[in-house]
Amino acid sequence: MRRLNWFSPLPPARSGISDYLWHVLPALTERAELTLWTHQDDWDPALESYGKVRKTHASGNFWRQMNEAEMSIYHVGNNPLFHGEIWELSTHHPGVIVLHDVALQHLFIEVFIQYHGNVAGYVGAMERFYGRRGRRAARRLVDHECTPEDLCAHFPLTPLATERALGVLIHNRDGFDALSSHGRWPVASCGLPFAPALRALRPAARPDDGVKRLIVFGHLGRNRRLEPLLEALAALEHRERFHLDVYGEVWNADYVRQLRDSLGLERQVELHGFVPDAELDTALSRADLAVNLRFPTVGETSLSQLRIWQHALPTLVTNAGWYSELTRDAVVRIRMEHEAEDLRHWLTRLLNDPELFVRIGERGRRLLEEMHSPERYARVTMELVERAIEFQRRATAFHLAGKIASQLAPWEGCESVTAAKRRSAEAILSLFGEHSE
Amino acid sequence: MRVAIATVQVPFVRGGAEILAEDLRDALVARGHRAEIVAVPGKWYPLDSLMSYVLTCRLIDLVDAFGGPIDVLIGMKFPTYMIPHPNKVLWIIHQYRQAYELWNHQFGLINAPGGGEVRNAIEQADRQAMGESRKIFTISRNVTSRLEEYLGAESTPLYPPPRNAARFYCGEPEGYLLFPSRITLMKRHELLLEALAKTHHPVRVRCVGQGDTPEYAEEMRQRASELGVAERVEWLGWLSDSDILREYAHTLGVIFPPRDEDYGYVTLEAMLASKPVITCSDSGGPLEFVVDRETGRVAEPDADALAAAMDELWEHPEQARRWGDEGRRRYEALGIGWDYIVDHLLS
Repeated sequence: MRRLNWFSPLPPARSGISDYLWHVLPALTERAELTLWTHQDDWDPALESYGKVRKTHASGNFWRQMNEAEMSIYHVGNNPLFHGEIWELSTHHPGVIVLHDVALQHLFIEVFIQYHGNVAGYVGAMERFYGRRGRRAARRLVDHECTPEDLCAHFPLTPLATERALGVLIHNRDGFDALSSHGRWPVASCGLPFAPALRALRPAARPDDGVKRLIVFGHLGRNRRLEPLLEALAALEHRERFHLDVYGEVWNADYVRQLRDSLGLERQVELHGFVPDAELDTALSRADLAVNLRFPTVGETSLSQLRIWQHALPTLVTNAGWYSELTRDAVVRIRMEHEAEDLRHWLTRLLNDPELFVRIGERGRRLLEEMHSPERYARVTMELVERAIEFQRRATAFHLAGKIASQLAPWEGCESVTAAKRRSAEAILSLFGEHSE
Repeated sequence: MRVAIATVQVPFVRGGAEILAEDLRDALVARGHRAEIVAVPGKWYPLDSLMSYVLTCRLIDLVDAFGGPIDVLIGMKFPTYMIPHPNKVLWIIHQYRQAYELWNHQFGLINAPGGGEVRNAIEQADRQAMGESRKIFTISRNVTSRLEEYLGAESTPLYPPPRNAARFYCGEPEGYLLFPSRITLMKRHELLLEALAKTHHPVRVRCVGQGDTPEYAEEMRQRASELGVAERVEWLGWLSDSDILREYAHTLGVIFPPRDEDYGYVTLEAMLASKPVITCSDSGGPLEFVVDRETGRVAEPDADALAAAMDELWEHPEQARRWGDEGRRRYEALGIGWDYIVDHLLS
């Protein structure tokens, strides 16, 4: 069995990625021996039945222990609290990168600027990957003339996470196609794993009061579109027939409550904060419709969507990113350019055609079972690990080529550069036993 | 012939490798050839730089120089033996050991971030360099064994003679053992000090050489104090050639217990001075010359065994003299000399 290092948030960390561990570990540990690395001070002891749990840099033998594994797997997302150190480690000790978000501006802004005070490093990275345009955009961010969200679409900084990778695993098709087009690393794509049997659901009794229950949950930043949702609810003719439950951490709960109150929705909208899983499952099983909007998207794949499908619950999603790839009849897509109009339309339709939504929810459940099995995910992961181990033999060549390219870049336009590039390419190829053509 | 000798120069470091390259150049010139040392600056840290130096060597063109061909390129050290040449001969002092037999050691690449990836790259590059060389020689059977074990490469040992071979002489012992070596972890001065603390006789040791770092040299001095042997150890530092020859001449015996030494000039120098050598069973190169209880002692690498060997020498000086004389006879029988080396490298 392969020995692997695994870097991700660990339960009980408040991260969807830590939740997904319970879905993937049983299948993965049948195929590999894992060491789960963390900088957290505490973790769920149940993890230790799947592998050793170790703290990073806890001993002087850290790098020795790292090198004793055959490959390292690093989970990278936007939460710097968890992924900052993980990313930094991956730059020193290359391995497989699992991209949970494609646009990583939030992560790198926090890591470079907030954590290390390294404005020059952030600006330099933007310039390295995006040239002068990137440099200008970085300066605008540093000068507070734009937000990270403004930069995500054109300057995702994904290459900063993947440039030393030995392989990349991504959970959506768009991201897979974009990464594969570089021809640079082994790339694999697979839907997030979800083990429906993991959490036995107990159907909860639904009150027969004619009220349609809506639910939103998770880490709720502005991109989760709570404001447009509240405004759409407030504009409905029969608003009193809806009730919205909001679970999870809201970016500014006081502001959202004020907005709710100003729209006269005090009785229709309730903010619950974080609740235990069992309570959230009960709420999901009583709901009629989940709202899982995201815009802008950072290319993430939603583990929460899989949880919604487990309950065979229909969902409103934004027609962007991974959500736009979903089977059309398993979700209801809201067009960003017609967001308000579409929200009002579908909420009204929920009242008029509830059976349609039941069918959508059931199709979501079937999709979950077909495309998100943990066994499939573990198999795809291990296949990628094998390809990464093979690629490692050539990874140094790419790294050297990158160094040469950066040295020759200032001389572009000189006649001698072409000859120098060819000579360098031949030298790199000869180092690794290959012949140039 | 016009011969280029490719080696690495780490600024401010001068040791056996530099001396060997110079002696080879002088031997080639003495045989009527034109010989030049081509030294490429080297640095092993950060690890990211290592492969850049390898690549640099691949980009060097030594096919010709100053209007004329370079007939032979002799590569002696990693990564300079990567320099391409149509008539390349390797005479390897050692590979990048941290990727091979020292992988798991305190200094090995296993302790470095990304160490496995760099090890893979070095191995591939080494295979390439071996494959494109006309002939491969090494400085010892120990280095030849490593090439065989890790790369499946066949090579032939060519023993280099110590510098000043003709000037070594034997004098009367003056009550000390001699440990001539750089003060660095791999030479195991700490083992010597621990053994000294266990001797029954008041064995005295003179250490000739400087520390790779002042801090480590001071650490060894402090260790001697901790073990209560400071008064029996003299740290002589760097000495001139004539002073070193004198130290060899008047020692009772040479103690040299390194860990897996590539070759070990010290052993041959002792034999030239007709002095017995105490070494260890895992010392590598010296074991190709020291025969237990015939030319010295081969002790297990622990303080008790080494102490017993030192006591034996101290207690039986006549036996030590006989072993030393036998060592000299065996050196002569080996036929180590520069003509033999030049003939094989250029044949």
